[in-house]
Amino acid sequence: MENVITAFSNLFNPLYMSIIAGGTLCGIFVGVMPGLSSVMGLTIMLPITFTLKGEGGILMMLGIFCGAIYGGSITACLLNTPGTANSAATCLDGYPLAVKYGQASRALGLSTYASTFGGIFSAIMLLWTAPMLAKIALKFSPAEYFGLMVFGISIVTGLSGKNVIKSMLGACLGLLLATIGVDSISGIYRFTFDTVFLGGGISFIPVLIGLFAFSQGLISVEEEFGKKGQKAANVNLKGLLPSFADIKVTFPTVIRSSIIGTIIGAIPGTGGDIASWLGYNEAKRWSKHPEKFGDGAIDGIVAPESANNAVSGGALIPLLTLGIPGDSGTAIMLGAFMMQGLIPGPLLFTEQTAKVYTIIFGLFAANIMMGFFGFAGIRMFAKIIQIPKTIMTPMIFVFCFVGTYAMNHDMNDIILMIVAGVVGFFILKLDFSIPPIILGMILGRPAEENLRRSLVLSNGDPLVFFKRPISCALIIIALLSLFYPFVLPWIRKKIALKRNGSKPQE
Amino acid sequence: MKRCNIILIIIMLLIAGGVFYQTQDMPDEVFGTLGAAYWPRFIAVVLLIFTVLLSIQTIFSKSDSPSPINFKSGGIKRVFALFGILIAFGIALPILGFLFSSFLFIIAVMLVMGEKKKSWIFWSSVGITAGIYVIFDYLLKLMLPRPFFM
Repeated sequence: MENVITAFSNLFNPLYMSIIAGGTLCGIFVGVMPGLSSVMGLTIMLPITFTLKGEGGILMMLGIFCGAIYGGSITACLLNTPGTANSAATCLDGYPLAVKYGQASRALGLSTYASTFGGIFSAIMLLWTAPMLAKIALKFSPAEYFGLMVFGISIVTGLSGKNVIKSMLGACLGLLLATIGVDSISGIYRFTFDTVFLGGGISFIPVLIGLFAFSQGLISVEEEFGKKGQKAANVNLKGLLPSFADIKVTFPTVIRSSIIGTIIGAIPGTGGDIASWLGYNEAKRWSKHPEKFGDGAIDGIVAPESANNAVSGGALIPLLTLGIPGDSGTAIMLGAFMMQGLIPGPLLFTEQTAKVYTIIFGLFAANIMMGFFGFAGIRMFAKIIQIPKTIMTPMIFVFCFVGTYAMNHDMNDIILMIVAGVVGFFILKLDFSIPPIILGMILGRPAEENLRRSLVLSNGDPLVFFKRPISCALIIIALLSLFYPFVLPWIRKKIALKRNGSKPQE
Repeated sequence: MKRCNIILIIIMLLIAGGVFYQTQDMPDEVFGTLGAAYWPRFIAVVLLIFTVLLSIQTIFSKSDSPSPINFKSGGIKRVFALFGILIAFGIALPILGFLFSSFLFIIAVMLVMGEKKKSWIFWSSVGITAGIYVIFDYLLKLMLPRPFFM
């Protein structure tokens, strides 16, 4: 209880409140702009958050994380283009209701209410489940931790990207990048080529900014060729607060989708896009009027929005308790936590309890502010959509330069970031997925250390990972997750074969 | 896509080979546990396995999708022009400092992206550079690289 009170007093000071507000506004801005993702926003702002003292940087990241997920819905409703992938499902009903039926205020009001509810619901779930899970995780030995890291990498690899083989190659590259520098046990220099720059290992932040933000900027330069800017629908925004009748009708959908979003968020390798589509499909399945979906159904707006915002709290459950990021956004946050001296995992709950509760209550505050800014500033955000890409793209590049430089005040970092960005541009073109590379880089070192530690404790017995039930289960699930994309079409074929009696339907 | 995959396979084989070459002098065992060479070699083996799988997938794929990088497209030409600008930026940065280099960089990127209104380009560049200066240098007290004459 003492820690909870400390967390509250930490959080409710003007500096932290304004930091969360700034982060949330920044997140909404990123989310509103088509082409800017929440991951990009988190990446660019990451080095800047290090200039903030205490938990300020992490609270700002939480604000960006929540704001960006919500911001995407504004573009989805007004432009029929999702600001982020999380809001793709919102376009289906948000745009028709806003433009075809001229009820933009109703569409945006409902999406704001559903987003805020989903976010707060997931924060409650985080507050409830995380300490319980952390208690179980406290019993983990290095073997379990190794299993957990292999599980985290492989499940993200198996579920992200178009080609699992290439995602796995990406994860290997990330793991290899993490081996550069001094070996923590023997003190031997690995792959440093006698350079001072590589002696301390590859700097994580420049690679992260290069791969996630700079490469996207380059893609945007290519894709904008010959394109004319989209204009947002000219709508009258008045009376944004949803009516009591709308809240009453949509409440069951909002609750259901918030539960879906929290669960999906807690599963590593998934994310807001999967949660929003699942929430949408379930809302349609449960609806008495499924035929109205796709033509401005209000349940079709609240379902994806509450589901994708509920991912924020869900994704923090494995991150805070086990140190395993659920998606790209939380992978960046894991990096931010580590840079701020917080090592996510069960020990965080026993050693830095007040900080953990500050983060959890910070998520509540970010969601409440998101709702406030959503209702109060939606007219301003609707205007942001009009900013042309010819201004946004050079701005992203310059932010990438400043962000990278802010870390160590080293020009070499800027060059490393540009190289990572150019490499990222080409590997994205070749169907690679960036999250496995980043996760490999983040989890590579702790995975190696836990592997070696568990072998020391077991007198070199490699079967130690299979003798302990949790690590054995995690490694088996990790292997299965890699085969899942190959096996899934085969299973579908078999089911179709059974259903049709003889021949599979093409 | 097949041609791109073949180049990729060659790069991956070179990386895996490079790991084995670089780790040949590292000890296999240190203080009763795995040496510094073990983990990178293990990853290199996994890399090789998946490279072989990619080779099989590439050889046996029935249809070949068009190359994802079309060097003749206007978009990719823009990106290559941007690479040139980035090199120029890298050279100018230590000489002109961050603000002057960024000002010129923004103008160059906007021109490459097809923006034609000169006053719009100029004032956007001034605005962004000034914004960066106020936020980072003035408010966050981040010492951005200075030009050689300051």
